[in-house]
Amino acid sequence: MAAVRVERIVFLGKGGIGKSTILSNLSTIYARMGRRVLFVGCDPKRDATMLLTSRTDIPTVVDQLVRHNEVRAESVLLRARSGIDCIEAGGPEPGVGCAGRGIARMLEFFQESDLLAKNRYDTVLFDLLGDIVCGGFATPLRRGFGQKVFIVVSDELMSLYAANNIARAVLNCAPNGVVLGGLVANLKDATADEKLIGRFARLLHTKVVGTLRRDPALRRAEFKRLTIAEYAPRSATTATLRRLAQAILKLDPRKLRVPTPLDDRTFYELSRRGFA
Amino acid sequence: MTATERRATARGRLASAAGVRNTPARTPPALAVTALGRDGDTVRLTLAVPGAQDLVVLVAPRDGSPAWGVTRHLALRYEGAALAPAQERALRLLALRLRDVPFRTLADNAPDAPGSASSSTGPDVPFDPETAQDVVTVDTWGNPDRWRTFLFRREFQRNASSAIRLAGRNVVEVSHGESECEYATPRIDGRTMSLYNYPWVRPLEEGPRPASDGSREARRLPSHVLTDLRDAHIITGGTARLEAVLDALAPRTTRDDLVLVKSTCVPRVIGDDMEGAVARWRGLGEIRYDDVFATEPTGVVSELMARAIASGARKRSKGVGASLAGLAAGRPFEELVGLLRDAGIAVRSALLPDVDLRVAAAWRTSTVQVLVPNPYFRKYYEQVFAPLGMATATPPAPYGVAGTRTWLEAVARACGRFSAMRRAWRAAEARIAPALARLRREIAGLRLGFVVGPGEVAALFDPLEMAGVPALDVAVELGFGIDLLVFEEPVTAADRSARFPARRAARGGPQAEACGSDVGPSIPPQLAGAVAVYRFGDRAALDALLRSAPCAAIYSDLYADERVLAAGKAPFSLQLFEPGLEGALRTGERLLGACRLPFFRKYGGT
Repeated sequence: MAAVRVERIVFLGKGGIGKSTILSNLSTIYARMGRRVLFVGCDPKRDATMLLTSRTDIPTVVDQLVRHNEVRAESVLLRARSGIDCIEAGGPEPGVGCAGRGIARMLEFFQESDLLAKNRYDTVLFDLLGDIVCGGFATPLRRGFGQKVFIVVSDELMSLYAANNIARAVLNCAPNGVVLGGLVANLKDATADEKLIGRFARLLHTKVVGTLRRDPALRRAEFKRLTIAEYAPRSATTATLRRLAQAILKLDPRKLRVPTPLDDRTFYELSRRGFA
Repeated sequence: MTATERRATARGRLASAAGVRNTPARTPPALAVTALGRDGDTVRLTLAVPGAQDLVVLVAPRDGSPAWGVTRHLALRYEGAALAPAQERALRLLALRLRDVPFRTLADNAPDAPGSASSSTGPDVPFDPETAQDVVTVDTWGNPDRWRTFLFRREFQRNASSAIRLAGRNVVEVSHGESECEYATPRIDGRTMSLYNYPWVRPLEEGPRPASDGSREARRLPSHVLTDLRDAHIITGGTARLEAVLDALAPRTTRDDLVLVKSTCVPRVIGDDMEGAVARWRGLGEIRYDDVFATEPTGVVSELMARAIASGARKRSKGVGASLAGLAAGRPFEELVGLLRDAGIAVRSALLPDVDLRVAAAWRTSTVQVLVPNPYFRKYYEQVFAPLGMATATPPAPYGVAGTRTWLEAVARACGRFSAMRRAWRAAEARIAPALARLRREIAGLRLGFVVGPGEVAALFDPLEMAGVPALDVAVELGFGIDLLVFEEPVTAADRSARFPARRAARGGPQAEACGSDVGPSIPPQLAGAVAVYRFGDRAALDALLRSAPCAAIYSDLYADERVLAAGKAPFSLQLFEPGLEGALRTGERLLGACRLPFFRKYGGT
């Protein structure tokens, strides 16, 4: 039997852009495809795991560390619906401490416990904070952890600015084998400028691998603490997410190009022209 | 070397710096640099691209201007119109290879392009080793000058503030940080100083002796508390931990106590609200926060010292007395106090680096205040002692025999006890004379080495640049010769000949030169006879010089400096230098021991 390539997928993007929602749906879809999925939450909000497990009391690596000064796999690995394993880094209260160190500590735990050992999972999805503000938040981009990076964007300027910064982080981490898989457009309204995102993607030497449009069913699913893939499996959005899931799997990291992020001045100059 | 050869060598060095293979143009690999040159602020590279035309890439410091692409430090542009796919691939690969390479590394490895402005007038941004030196720290691994840095004065500056300890008046010092800091932070106690804290030389702080009334012991009030941050605290924030420690202290304190909260690196990095925790404390005593890692002393210790001095007696006591600042407790201090006593001068108070606030109260009862020159105490001297309006003496620090004598005589003169001091000195000098003579006989012919940049030579001879220690004066007085290994920017043979006509070749070794060349004016005339200057321009020459120079021990602030050990020689540092007359003997014995140590000659040399 041919060895299955382990997919190590990272989602990034400006805060509130929809990373956790998309990634929790992708996790569900992959699990339903029969893949062994580990969902890694690197956001102190831990919202994606809440969605996947319908729980609000999510134990985290940092909680364990604070309470017991050690981390045990059985205490932090949660089995979600569809057989997805979830683990959350957790983090400090807002405004104190160092959340980046929390993420780095969780990845140290991965190494200590050999959590990403061969044949354990074939799909690992990392849900990162919006902005990679320090090295700690970039630890999932180190060798052996995340590989294919996807940036969730809208047509709003600051979302694209954040995407450009993230592309810089990908460039910095390229020697670790990290590649930019593409942009995922998450459009908030019907008037959104989808073409602008396409032009911006070309400037980064990447492409838009999927486009999601506003769907009230998504909001309803979240209130029910379900992914839309579970809540409305036949909806157009679920179909789009399935296509996105397939597109991600098809991408060969060896064939992906190194991104070419813009410097700030160029970014703002080009943004005035709609990145034309 | 011809210009072509130089370019070929430079290409090789660039290739090494950037991880680019450099092979003949006939069989170009995926990325091959076939030409390289520097023109002002731009390095011009020609890439041989298989299946496409050569591509000329212009690399400049990243400055926000439009570019094809940017790396961490560089902006990449190219000559020509649209890129062919193969050219684009090559350019991307180059960007990736250069992603962490600073512009200076590229520029230093690129010869001036023919006809460029810089080829005729020299580099337009001359390399300034002194500027670079200022920013080198022990952990500046990436600094291009680190290979030739042996003096790390900035580390001393950074650690000096943390070495000052408060005592007395029921002081509790709360260090907010993790335990490793306590082991790695060196202490300055006037004689032992290096970037490694030897616990057998200076045991970890045990705190002041219990107060005579015993109330402190009864209340189990500690002198020094460490919040001992762990990984989890670093993630979740350490402020709560600090507050917990302060809350535990609160019921043990009285109105007479002083709690001083001192920061360490980690809480500063993670943004702990230490000042807020201090403001919220509800203990009975006074509480203060001191950011000991601030570039300059924050003034908190100065204020506490000044207040303690102000609270004490204002009138001089009967008899002749001196108050000393900048001499650490220990054997040298006791010896100097004893010699002053022999001359009829009582030491009534001593402050810095340890600050006992009870002792401070007696400061103004003295005839004179004596401030031992030390760059790290300068602010305290200005803030606390200068405004007092007392008679003040600031003779050079009492290191070595002559230095100790000069210092004692200056203090005695200020106290009106000069004649008495002359008598006391004669007796003291006579006591050590046989040992000193024996030591000098043993030292005769031995040399100590110092590796410096050209602008550092003067600093080496200035005690204020050497943590207050006149190390070279003491060494020469004891009979050591001094080898200065001076870095020199590579220059052309013609320039070199013009600049250093007096140099002479050392036997079978690197070139040496007599004093009187351009570093000569930096060497004090009284020491010039003992000093030989050697020059090196690159790492290989330095390594060779470390091995071949006559010096038996070489100065380095780094503990067990591998550069020195690999040369089969012993490293030494200011840690070996001790003030006072007996201290001079002990200093000589230590330096002699370093020179004689056979271990590194046997096992360290390559």
